[in-house]
Amino acid sequence: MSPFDSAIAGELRRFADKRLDAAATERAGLVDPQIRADLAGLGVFGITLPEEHGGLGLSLGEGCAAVAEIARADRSVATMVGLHLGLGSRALTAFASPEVAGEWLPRMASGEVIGAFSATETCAGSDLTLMRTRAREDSGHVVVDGEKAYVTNARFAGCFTVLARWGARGHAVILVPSDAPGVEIGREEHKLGILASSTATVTFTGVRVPRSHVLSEQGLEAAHHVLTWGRTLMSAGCVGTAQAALDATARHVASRKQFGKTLGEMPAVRMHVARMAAVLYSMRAIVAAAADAPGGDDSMVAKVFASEGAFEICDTAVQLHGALGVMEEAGVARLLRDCRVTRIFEGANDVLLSRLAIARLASRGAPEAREVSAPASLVAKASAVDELTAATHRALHGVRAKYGAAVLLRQPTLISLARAVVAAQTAAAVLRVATDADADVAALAVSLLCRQGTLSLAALDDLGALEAESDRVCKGLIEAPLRPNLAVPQETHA
Amino acid sequence: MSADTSLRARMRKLVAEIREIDESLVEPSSRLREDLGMDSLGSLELLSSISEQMDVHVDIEDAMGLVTFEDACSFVERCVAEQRPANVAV
Repeated sequence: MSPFDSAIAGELRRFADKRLDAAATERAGLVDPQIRADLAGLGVFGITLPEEHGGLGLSLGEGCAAVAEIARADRSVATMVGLHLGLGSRALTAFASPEVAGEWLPRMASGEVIGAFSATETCAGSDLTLMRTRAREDSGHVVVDGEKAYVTNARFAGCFTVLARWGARGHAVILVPSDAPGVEIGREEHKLGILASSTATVTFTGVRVPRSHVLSEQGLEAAHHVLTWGRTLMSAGCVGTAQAALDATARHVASRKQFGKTLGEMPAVRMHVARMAAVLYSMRAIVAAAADAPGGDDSMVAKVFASEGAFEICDTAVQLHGALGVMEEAGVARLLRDCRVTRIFEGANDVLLSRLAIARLASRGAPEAREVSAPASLVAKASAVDELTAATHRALHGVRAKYGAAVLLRQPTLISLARAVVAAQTAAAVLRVATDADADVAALAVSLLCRQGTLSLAALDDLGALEAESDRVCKGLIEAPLRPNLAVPQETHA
Repeated sequence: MSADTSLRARMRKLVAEIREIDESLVEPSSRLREDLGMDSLGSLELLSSISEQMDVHVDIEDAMGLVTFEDACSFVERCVAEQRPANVAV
């Protein structure tokens, strides 16, 4: 059974239908404390936290199901919950001493304490190695100094998991209570979407915490682990948002009449709606795969595919709603705004794609064959996925042999390769969850993914020429000296 | 300056630039990951830059096993010795 069909998903769907109102939450500007209390009453903040610390001890997949159901109704609320379950609490669950875990996790599981993750700085976004925030030991304590930007859940948080420089060259992950002297929460940022989630700068000035609050002295590795959880839960939020967009669109095209027929009877509209459903099906499949194996690179694949899939689905929803689509009252405009940031935060997609390609290029031998038991009706599709996987492997081998480590300087090549990997891996995930009952949508999903993967591989052939042409254009745009006045000269009249 | 010193100096400078640290912190025994905070991407970034600057082919799979800064220097030296194209100035 897919985690998206779990009992917790059903319970939260009923709650969300009854209690969540995204438009009202957005107008209020921050998630209503009563909503937070109601979710706490349902045990939502402890879904994936250990039972021994008061959590429900459920799987990451069930956490994803919960986040998806909340996101279907209100992405701001889902962002608060998903961030808490992933980035906000995972380091404590995975790395804290029994004493620190025993002190903090029960309060987090109950929802009394909301978690936040502080890694990004204004000068250190995707490249966390550039961070300036430092921590040092001082008489049995640790002192943290620095400023973290764009901290999600900042205003709700009872504690921050902070990534800081540690010693001369290392990094550490440190737990900092939000009420510790020296912690200052800045003003709320004005964003494009998820308007009721909290995003603010957090400043740490000489903040002293016990030495036991250093959760890991292998900070970058610990952050990587935490991010695999965070990205998977965030991807689940994309599933919820996309589901809401598809639901709204299906209702709209079934009732809206133009030229004597409903939009839903028009072939072009039907292809758009079917594509939305197929992309959403693929998103569910790859998120479920990532949740099954949180340590693998499926979380990067899921993050990239789900964030782009959700944006495409929401954009199509706006388009098929016509002029109504850009009106706030229809609701699909908010969905589009809410999902835009997911292509950026928790690793900008181009950066993740580059890393994914590098990881594949650096791994020895062929990727492990995955057992895929496709339903009988999808056997032909399974062959297509095998072909795409093999072609992607050949392309990786060819690039590895041709460029060696210098391929790192060829980011467009890395991204095209990774897009093929994403397509192949997602198609394999679709086949794993497909059943005869949903064979039609699964078949379309695989067709679209194979087409996408094949195009990505074909793009490698003329990438050099495109890159050279792009480079020439950018020389005039980016590297030209700043001109004081770019305004069009005024015409002179005699 | 000997070829050997020149290579190490260039690599030390590159590490310092990539990690934004002082060159004096990069010692032969420094571990790329634990001591210099270079993740796998950072290590490959170093080797790709060297690969480009010195016009040598650096195999990714072999490069992934490097542990210390000295390992990386020796590895690049071997690559240069094995390939040594005409335009390489070490």
